[in-house]
Amino acid sequence: MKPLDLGTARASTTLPAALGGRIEPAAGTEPLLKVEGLSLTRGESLILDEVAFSLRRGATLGLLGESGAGKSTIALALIGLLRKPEVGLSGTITLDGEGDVVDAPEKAWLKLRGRRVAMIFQDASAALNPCFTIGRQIMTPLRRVLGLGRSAARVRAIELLESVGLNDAPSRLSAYPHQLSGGMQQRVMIAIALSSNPDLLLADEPTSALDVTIQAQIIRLILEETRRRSASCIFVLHDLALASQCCDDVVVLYGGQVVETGPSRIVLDAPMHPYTQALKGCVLEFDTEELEPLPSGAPSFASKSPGCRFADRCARALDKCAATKPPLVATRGRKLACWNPLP
Amino acid sequence: MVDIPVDTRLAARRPTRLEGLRALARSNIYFAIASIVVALFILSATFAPLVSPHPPLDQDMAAFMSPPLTENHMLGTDSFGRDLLARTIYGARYALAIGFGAVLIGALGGLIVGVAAGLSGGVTEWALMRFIDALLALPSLIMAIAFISILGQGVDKVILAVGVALIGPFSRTVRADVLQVKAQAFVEAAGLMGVKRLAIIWRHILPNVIFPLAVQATIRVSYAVLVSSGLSFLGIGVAPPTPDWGLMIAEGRSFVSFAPWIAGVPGTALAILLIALSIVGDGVREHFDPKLRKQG
Amino acid sequence: MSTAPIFRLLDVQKAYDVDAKGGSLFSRAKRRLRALDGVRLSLAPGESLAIVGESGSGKTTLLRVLLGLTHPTDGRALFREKDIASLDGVDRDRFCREVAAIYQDARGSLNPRMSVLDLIAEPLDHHKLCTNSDRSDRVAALMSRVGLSPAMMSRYVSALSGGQLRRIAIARALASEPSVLVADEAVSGLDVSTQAQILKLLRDLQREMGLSLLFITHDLGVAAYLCDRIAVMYLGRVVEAGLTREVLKAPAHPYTRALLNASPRFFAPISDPLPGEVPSPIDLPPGCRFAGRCVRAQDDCQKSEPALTPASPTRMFACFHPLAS
Repeated sequence: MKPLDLGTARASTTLPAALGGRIEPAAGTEPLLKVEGLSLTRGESLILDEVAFSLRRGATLGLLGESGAGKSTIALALIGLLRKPEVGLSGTITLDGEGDVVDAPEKAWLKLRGRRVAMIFQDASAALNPCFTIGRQIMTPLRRVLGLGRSAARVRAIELLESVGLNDAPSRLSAYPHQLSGGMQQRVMIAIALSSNPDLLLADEPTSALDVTIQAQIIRLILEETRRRSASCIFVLHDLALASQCCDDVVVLYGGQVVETGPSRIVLDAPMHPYTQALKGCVLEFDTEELEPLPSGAPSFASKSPGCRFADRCARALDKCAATKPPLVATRGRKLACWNPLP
Repeated sequence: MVDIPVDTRLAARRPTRLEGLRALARSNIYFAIASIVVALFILSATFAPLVSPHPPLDQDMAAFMSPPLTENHMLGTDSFGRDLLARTIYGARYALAIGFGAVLIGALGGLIVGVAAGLSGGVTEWALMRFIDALLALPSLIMAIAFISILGQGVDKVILAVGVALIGPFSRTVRADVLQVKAQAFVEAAGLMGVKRLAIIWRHILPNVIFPLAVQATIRVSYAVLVSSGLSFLGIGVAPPTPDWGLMIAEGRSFVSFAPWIAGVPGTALAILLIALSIVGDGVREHFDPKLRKQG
Repeated sequence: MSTAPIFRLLDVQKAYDVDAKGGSLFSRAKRRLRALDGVRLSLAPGESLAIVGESGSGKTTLLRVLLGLTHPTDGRALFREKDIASLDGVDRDRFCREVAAIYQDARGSLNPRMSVLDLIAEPLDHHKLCTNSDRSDRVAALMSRVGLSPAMMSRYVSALSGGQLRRIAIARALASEPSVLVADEAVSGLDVSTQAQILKLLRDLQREMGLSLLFITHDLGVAAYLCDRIAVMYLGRVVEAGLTREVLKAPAHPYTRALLNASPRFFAPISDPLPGEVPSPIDLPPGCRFAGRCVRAQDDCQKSEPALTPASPTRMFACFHPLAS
C-alpha cells in the first residue's frame, strides 16, 4: 500500500455489479446531504443551535469539538435516532433523492438506514451483540435490507470481511465478537456498515478505543472503502491532527453552535476562530514545547443566552460577544461565526 | 509558577440525600402516596392508645360479629365482640416492630457474615459461603418455624427467628458488594499509601457496602412483615389474644363465609402496608442505584 | 538527595501461567505468558521517563512491578537499591511516602463516599504530615497548587468532572510530598483542552518540585511533551530507549518509526499502517518479536533475538537492522 494521497484518490473505481456497485452520479449535482438550521431543545437547554453544513458526494467531512459540543447528537439525528416527535428537533436534513428526512417516520427510516446511511460506532465491542456470531450479525442486514438468500448472503459476507482486511474470513463467520481483538471488531463493524452499500457513512470516533497503529489501519480502511464505493463519510472526531489527515471539510462545533467550517486545508491550517485555534493549540506533536490550554469551563446551553457560547472562555472576547450571537458568514475561503476573528 | 486556571465549574453543591428523596417524591407520585401510607401506619402504630377507638382486648357483649359501619364500631367486631379497627391499629405495632426489628437483625448479621466472607478468602470464605448457602437453601418461613420451635413463642422470639432467617440473603448481597468494592482502584491506592488493612476496611470498604445494604433493608421490611404474619397465621408466632394481623386472619378464617370482615380488615391492612412498603423500597433503590436510575 | 537511581529494574521478568486452549477438562496444559521479558530500566532523581507502548506491550505490568503490587518471576526490581518485593518496616514506610501513583481511572481511584477534603487529606493524615488545625489549610494549598478552587473541598466525586478528578488525584499524590510520581495513562479519555491543562500542570509540577516522573502512555506526543527520556516497549521488551528528542527525531527501531508514522500529524498523508496486530504473548516464536510485522525483517531476525544494546551513551535499541539516522 502506498501513502494515501487525498487529492488523487477521489477518482473512484467502479465496482462490479456482483459487489453491488452503484452507478456513478453525475458530477456537480445536488450535495448528498444538506443540514440547515438544525436545532435541538431539551427543556430549557438548546443542545444544537442552528447547525448548518452540507456534504458533497464522495467527500469526507469532520465534525470536530470537545465532548458536549453536540457532535454525536448530530450523528444521531443524521441516522434518524433523534426525530422530531420525540425531541424538540427542528430544521431540515435533506438527503439527496429523499428530500427532508428530519420529519420522516420510523418506517421510512427503516428503509434509509443501511441502504442510504450507516453508522460505525465508537465502541465496537459494545455495538456488536455478544450473543450472536459475526456471521449472523453481518448476514442479517444483507438478508433483510438487500433481500439476499442464505447462501448468497454468506458469499457476500465473506467478501465484505475480506475487503475490510479480515484474513481467514469463512472461519471468522462463526466466531463471536469476544474472540476478536478490538481492531478486528471495528473491522467487522465497518463491514456491517458497508454491507448494504450506503452512500453516507457516519463514523463516531471510530478509533478512539484503539491503539495508534490500529487507528491508522482503520482510518485508512474507512477512507479506501468509502472512496471505492464513491460514498461519503462523516467523521466525528476530537483530534484535529487526525481530522486534517482524513477530512476534506470540517465543521468545528462549540456548545452546539457551528463556529467555523470549511475545507480542512484552510480551516485547520490557519484557523480564524479563537476556539479552533485553541483546539489546535492543544494538539501535541513531537516538537511541541509549549501548550496553551484553554481555561476550564463548559459551554452554557441556556436557550436564552443571546451571545456566542465561547465568549466566557475566549481571550479575544469583546463586550458584543456575550450580547449578540455572531452570524456564520463566508470569510476567506471558509464560514466563520466570530465578532473578533484572528487575523 | 505558571498560571494554572482555577476550575470553578459545577458551583452547585451536591444535593443531600433527603433533598434527593424529596425530589423523588415529586417526580414519582406512587412513591409519594406509598410514603404517606407507610408514615400513617407508623404514626398510628406509635400513638395507638390515642388513635384507637377502644382498647384492643375489650369485648363489646352487645355487638358480636357486627359488620363494618355499625355504630361505635366503624370496621365491625370479631367473634368475641372486639373492635376490629382497634385491633388492626394495635396489630400494626406488632407488624412494624417485627418487620423493622427482624430486618435490623438480618442486616447486621448479614453485614458481619458478608464482610467476613468477602474479605477472608480461602477456606474461611468457603466455609462461610457454605453456611450462607445452607441458610438460603430453606425458605425463610420454614427457617423461622424451625427457630420458633427451638426458642418458643413470643414477639421477641419471632423477631429473632425472622431476623436470623434473613441473614442468608443479606450476607450474600453484602459479600457481592465487598468483592466489587475490594477490586476498586481506591482500595489498591490506599494499600499503596501504606494504610493498614483494618483502616482500609473501615474507611473505604464499609461505607461503600453499608449504603446498598440500607437500600436492601428497605426492600426487605415488607418481606419480614409477611413472614411474621405467616407465622402467626400458622399459630406458631405470636400467642393469642395479642392483636396480630396474622392471628386475626387465622381467627376470622372460620367465619369467612358469613362474616368476611373479620379476616378481611386485617388482611386488607396487611396488603396495603406490604404494597406501600414495596413501592417505597423500590423507589429508594431506584433512586440510589445508578444502574436503574433514569437519565436526566 | 543522592543521585543514585530511585528505581532500578534488572532484567525483570514477569510470566503468568495460563490455561492452554483446547486442553481437556482434566488435564489442563499450562502455557507461559511473558508479560515482561528482561526489562532493564532506571529512573534517577528529578528525571522524567516515558514508557510508551500499545496495549499488550507489558507497560501496565511494569507499573505494577514498580509499585510492588506484583512481584517479578525473575530479575530484580529495586527501589533505592532495595528489593521492592521485600521492603519492610522503615523502608516500606519510606516507599509508601516517596512513591505516589496516579491512576488511569481517576474516578475509580477516589472513594466515592469521601469528600474532596478527606480524599486529599488521607495521605496527610496517614503519614502524619500535618496537625488537625492546619489540615484544611494544607488541603486548600494543595488544591490551588493543582488549579482547583478550595471551595470545592466539601464536594464528592460524583459531582466532579473528569478534569477536576484528575486534578484531585494529582493533589492527593502530591500530599505525601513524594519524590516520584508514577502515572498510568493519566491523561487518556479527556478532552484535548482538558488534557492540555493536565499535561501542562504535570510538567510544571515536575520541573518546579524536582520530582521524578514515570509516565506510562500510548501517545508519543504526550511522551515527547512530558518526558526527557523514553522507553518504547513491544511485547514485554524494551525495543528502544534514550533521550526523547533523539529517539523521536531519528528512531532506530522500525517499531518506533511505525509508531511515529501512525501518530496523527497535521496534513501529513496517512502513511502505510503497520500490517497486522500485536501477536499473542503466549509461546512466542524464536527471534525478534517484531519480525512478523516488520518491513525490514530478514532471515537473522527470525533466528535469534536482538538484545537491547547501547549505540551511544544516551541511546539503546534492540534491532539487527536499525534504520540509519
